[in-house]
Amino acid sequence: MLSLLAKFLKVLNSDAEPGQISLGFCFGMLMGFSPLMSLHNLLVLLMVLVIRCNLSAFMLSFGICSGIAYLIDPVFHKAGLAILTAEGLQQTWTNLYNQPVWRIARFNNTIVMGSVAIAMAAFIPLLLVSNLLIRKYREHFLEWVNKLQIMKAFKASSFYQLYEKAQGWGVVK
Amino acid sequence: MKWIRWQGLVAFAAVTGLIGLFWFVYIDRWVERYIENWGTFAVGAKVELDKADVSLFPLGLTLTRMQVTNPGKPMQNAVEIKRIAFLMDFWQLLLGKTHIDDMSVEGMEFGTKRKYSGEARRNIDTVVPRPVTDFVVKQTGPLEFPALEVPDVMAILKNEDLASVRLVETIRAEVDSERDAWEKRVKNDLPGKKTFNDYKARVEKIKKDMKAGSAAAITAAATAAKLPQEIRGEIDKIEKARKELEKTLELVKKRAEEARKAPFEDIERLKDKYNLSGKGLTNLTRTFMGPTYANYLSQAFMWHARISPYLEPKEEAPKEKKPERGKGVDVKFKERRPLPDFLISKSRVTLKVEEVGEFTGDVRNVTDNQAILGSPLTVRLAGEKLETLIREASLDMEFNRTRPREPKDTVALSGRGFQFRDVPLSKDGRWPIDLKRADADVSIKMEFLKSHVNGLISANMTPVEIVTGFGQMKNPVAKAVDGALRDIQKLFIEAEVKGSPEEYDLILRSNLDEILEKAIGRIITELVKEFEQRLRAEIMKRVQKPLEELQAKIGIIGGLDKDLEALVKEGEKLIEEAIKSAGAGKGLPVPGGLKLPGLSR
Repeated sequence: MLSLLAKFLKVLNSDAEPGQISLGFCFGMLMGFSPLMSLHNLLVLLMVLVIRCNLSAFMLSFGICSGIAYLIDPVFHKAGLAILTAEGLQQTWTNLYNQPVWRIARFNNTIVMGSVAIAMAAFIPLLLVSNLLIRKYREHFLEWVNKLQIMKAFKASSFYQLYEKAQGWGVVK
Repeated sequence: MKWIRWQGLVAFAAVTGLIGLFWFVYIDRWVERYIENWGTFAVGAKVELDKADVSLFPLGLTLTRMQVTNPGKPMQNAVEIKRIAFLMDFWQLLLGKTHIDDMSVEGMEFGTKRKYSGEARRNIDTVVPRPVTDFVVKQTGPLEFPALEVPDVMAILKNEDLASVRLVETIRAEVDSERDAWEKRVKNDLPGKKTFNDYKARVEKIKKDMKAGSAAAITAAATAAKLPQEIRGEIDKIEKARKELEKTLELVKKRAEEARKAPFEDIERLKDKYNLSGKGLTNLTRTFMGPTYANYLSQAFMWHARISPYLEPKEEAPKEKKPERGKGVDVKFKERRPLPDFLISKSRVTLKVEEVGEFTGDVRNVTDNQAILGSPLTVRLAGEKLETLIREASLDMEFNRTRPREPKDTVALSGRGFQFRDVPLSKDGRWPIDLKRADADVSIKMEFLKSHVNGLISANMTPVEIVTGFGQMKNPVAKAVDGALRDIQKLFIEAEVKGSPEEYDLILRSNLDEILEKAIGRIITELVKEFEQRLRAEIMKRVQKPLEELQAKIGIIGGLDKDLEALVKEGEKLIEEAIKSAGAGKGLPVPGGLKLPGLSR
């Protein structure tokens, strides 16, 4: 079972370029901020699986951003409400409201609209910043981290042995 | 570096396939749980389904054996439905609306038994039904039943103050006083028998003297000339006194008449007080059946109050209300074709009523927002050739909330050949009356407005068999009522309801009143007569002697008047005699044989 999981992870984590990791983060944020059972998350999931982004980063980001989303829900609500009640967009929203697909997407829900809008707005900045940070990390800190005792203990664990076989995380090629 | 991972498509397909499979496998159970939970929340008692079956093509749902527990009787179902099946409008569902064009409801039954209690668990939030206040019948008058036993006259008189006795005594004292005063006056102030006897003697003397023809005759003649005037003076005194006496006598007779009538006023007062006037006979139907009807109406109002909240449109949550975390608020925009969120256009219903039979009909326009739909909720059920208890029946209900501020609900129920069996008409412990058997045509029409109810409930029953629990009583009125009720062949009862559900007027009309009035009217009349005779006898016993004495005293006063009248007559007679006696003489002797002419009046 662990072997199968590790192989699966190998396939998925073969994408370890900083850009791919950053993209994983951004998609994780997009999915983490908005309510899970939203239609657009299917699209995000499709993109995550089809586009070569780092799935580990995606899952990590999804977890963290889900927690953040719980804390800043009121912000999403206010943002969503402001967007949905904007005077100049009423006609647009009315047209979308009368179409089944958009109703299924629940675009008229304040949390959905607010979270998607904020996540979309933060997508490019996060992509660029995380890309930069990853490069800097690899350049200046990776070697130091590898020497830490905790890292050594982690690398000695059975799960990491399998993961190593899959040539996953931390290997720069 | 390649940016597309084609294997991802497989993964995506696998993930969505898994989700779809999960949904496909568990959707039935999920729908079942959702309906049970929502139903339990709405009803306040367990709602259970044996099975829910979702079909995708076409989109529909089949529910098998739905049990809705009666909140008041956890071991009984308010309604049990064998099968509910419907198709849904797919596009409306995508728009978040549940629209069902045609629903089939089969095997609906009421009051079926449960195997276990359907009381809702405490940790399930349940809707608290709108508090149902006690429905009180506004009394239009006191519910009194006439006294059916002749009251004890002696006991009554012991406790009652008789005005007649006091009045007779008072008047007797007055008459006494008048009699004394007049007797004194007649004796002391007026000329009496002796006076007139004296006058008579003088007249005799005059006559004698005039016959003698001597000098005494001259004196006699002179006396005879004055005597009539004297007597006239006495007579005038008496006449004057007589006039006053006549006035006194008239007054005294008037007072005596009052004294004579006073006992009858006491009798009438006591008759009314002890309720033997028969006034309580009006509206006996209300006396006997009012509480029973009020009980049924209370139940009807309670169910209407229970249903009403579900007919009202949902209130929009205020915009200032803080949204639940993670839920947000759904902003609504104008719909091109406004429709309610929930709508069952038509539902065909088959309803089975125990011991009655099967009814079929339809329910239309079940929705959460009639104002948008523009049509009221209607229920039509009819049953013909039913098994027992009723031959045919029909029910038409309309719940109109198209104008939320002017709600109007109407119920029209009619039944022919309704068989009443052992129905209590009066549950009063003293006067129990049961409708043992009757075949009736029943009509119920009720209209519920915002805070007002109008209703008319009528029942025509024939044949009729009524039994009472007071036929063995010795009381003749009770026996008469029992007899009259047993003899009834046709019974008509009509109940009119007006007012608010919390306080309404219940006007009951029935041929029962006429029947009972006739039957016991005679008894009451005889009892009243008997009571009156006893009462009169006792009261007259108390006033008889004083009245007789009063009459005697009045008689005495009357006697005085007669005496005075006799004196007047005597006086008149004496005057005549005096005048005659003056003219009857031979004439005065004059020397030389010349006769002086006689004196004349």
